[in-house]
Amino acid sequence: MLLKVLNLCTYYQTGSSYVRAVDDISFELAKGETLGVVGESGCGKTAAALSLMRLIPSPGRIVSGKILFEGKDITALSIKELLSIRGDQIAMIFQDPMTALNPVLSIGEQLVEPFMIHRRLSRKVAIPLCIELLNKVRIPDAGSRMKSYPHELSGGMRQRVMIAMALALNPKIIIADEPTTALDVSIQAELLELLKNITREQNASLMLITHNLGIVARYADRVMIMYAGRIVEKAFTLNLYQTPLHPYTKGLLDSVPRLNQNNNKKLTPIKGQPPDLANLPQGCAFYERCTLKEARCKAKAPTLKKFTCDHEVACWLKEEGK
Amino acid sequence: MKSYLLKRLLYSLLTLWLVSLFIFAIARILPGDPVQGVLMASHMGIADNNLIEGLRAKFGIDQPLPIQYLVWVKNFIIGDFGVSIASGEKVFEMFMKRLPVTLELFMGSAIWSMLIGFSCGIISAVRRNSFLDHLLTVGAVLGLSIPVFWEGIVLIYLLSVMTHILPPSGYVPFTESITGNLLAMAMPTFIMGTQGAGLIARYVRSSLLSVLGQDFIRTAYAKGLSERQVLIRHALKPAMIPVTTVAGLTFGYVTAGSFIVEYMFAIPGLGRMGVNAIFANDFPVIQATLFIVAINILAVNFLVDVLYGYLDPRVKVRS
Repeated sequence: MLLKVLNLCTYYQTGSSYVRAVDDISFELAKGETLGVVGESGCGKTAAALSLMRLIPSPGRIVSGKILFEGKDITALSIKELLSIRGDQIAMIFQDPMTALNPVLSIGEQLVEPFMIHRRLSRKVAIPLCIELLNKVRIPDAGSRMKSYPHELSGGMRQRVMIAMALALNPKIIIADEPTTALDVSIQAELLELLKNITREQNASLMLITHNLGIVARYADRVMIMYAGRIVEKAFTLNLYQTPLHPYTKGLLDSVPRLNQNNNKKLTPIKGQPPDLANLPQGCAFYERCTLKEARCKAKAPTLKKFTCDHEVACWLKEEGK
Repeated sequence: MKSYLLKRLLYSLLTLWLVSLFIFAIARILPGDPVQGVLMASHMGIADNNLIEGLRAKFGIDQPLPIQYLVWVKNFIIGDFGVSIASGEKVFEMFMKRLPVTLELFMGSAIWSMLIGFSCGIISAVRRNSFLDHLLTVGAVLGLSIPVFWEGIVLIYLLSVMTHILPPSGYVPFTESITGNLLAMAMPTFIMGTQGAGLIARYVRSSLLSVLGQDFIRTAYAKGLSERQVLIRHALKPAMIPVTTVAGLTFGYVTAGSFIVEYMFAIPGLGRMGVNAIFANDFPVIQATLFIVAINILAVNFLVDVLYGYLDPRVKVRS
């Protein structure tokens, strides 16, 4: 297994209280696989992604758990070892291309960095490689674009640059944190298609973080649904859409329109707000919003259990099977 | 970029014109009559009207004010700064004689305030909320809030009166003795740069901190850059953008400080010349000094604008 995350906990400490951004999650990522991570804002998906590269900003930190990348525990690496993995073995594409590129450095200046840092190439040698990359992400007139500054490019173009930057050194894992959320719908599909094709070409694994279930259905091999810092359901994409098990997953699916459904069916939003991560209630975190809640849900939080061989869910109602 | 610079240059010239009006007005509003002052010294105050009128005509101050202004501006443009009423010396020559002294003081204080300001600011930002950061913050706030004259008195007391490390005042030309010159200039240079150093340190810290919190810094870390590389390659340049403005403004502080410091340490520079001229109501000298100061401050700010365009590629679009 390329990446194995075991009981990862990432907390933000504010004064004496903890915000449990990532609360005891475990998952795996196989070579060449695309894993979709879905959840509302603030459910811990970004924190989980940042944890994988140890990029959690202070006052957050990985409190416990292991992140085994090719057998090495990332949480235990020295800074030097960590730096050699970041950007080389594992790369990240961020949500907002408007702010994720340095505004005062040219595109070329930012693109050559991975080559210069990890491969120790000179700028001269790196530049043609960068132009090749820009061609690969279909940026027209790549040679002259190298001298452009981010503000001279459209959002879609900037995200292409971000993708090019992440793919520069053929990383084994690409983490894409809502890569198209900040972009026009018309560009979204194009960029995701591009990302998918290139990762497939390089046989890289993709961790696709999104709140868009449509994107996941189309691009992910497996999906995990996160809620309040935990994984509530984990399954092959097809299984998840056909037989959602967790009430939250069902709620999510019911709140987005689907083309193959009866058009007269009303969309039903999930009522209420996600709980405060600094002050999680006892029992199941979804209790307050759940339509199927029972007394035992309040008493103790359910853990992730296998329902079928490739479908896991954290819900008491599914505990005793079928 | 060219049109941006041209625009800045035009603004500077416009400002300069307004400043010239202002300076001319101040010099005339000052109470007292320079001619009377001169006569008081040379003729023990006994002077007939003919003598007074003669002197007035000689310095051109018998003309109506608008004419005086135009004559002054015209002469200034062709490089004639006029003649000192008090000493009869050509202002331009007085100026050139004192320029190297003030220049040394300025360069010295600019270099030390930038050096200290930048390094303290960077250390503070990188090690934010550490003990060192708090210590440097206290130092910077002290530095920028202590009045120049008070700092001067205290330092003279500590370093000259009590310990005799540095001379309390006076000036030794560079050509006479290098060590003597450096010793004499050490304290005034330090004092003149203190406020600037504190100000720059504070601004560098806050500007760098805000840059370090930006998304693109996280991108840089995700690429595998070390903290040092992120700082040097990604954070410093954008952080310098607001700081250049402040550094330019600091120049104004330093100039104001030079008037006090040069007077305090009996350094024969432009500041001292200006102060003496104000006491003597010697307005050709007052006008020339203030105007040169104004030109310098505008030049520095123009330079800042140029630097801005270099540091921030977005400026070209905005202009």
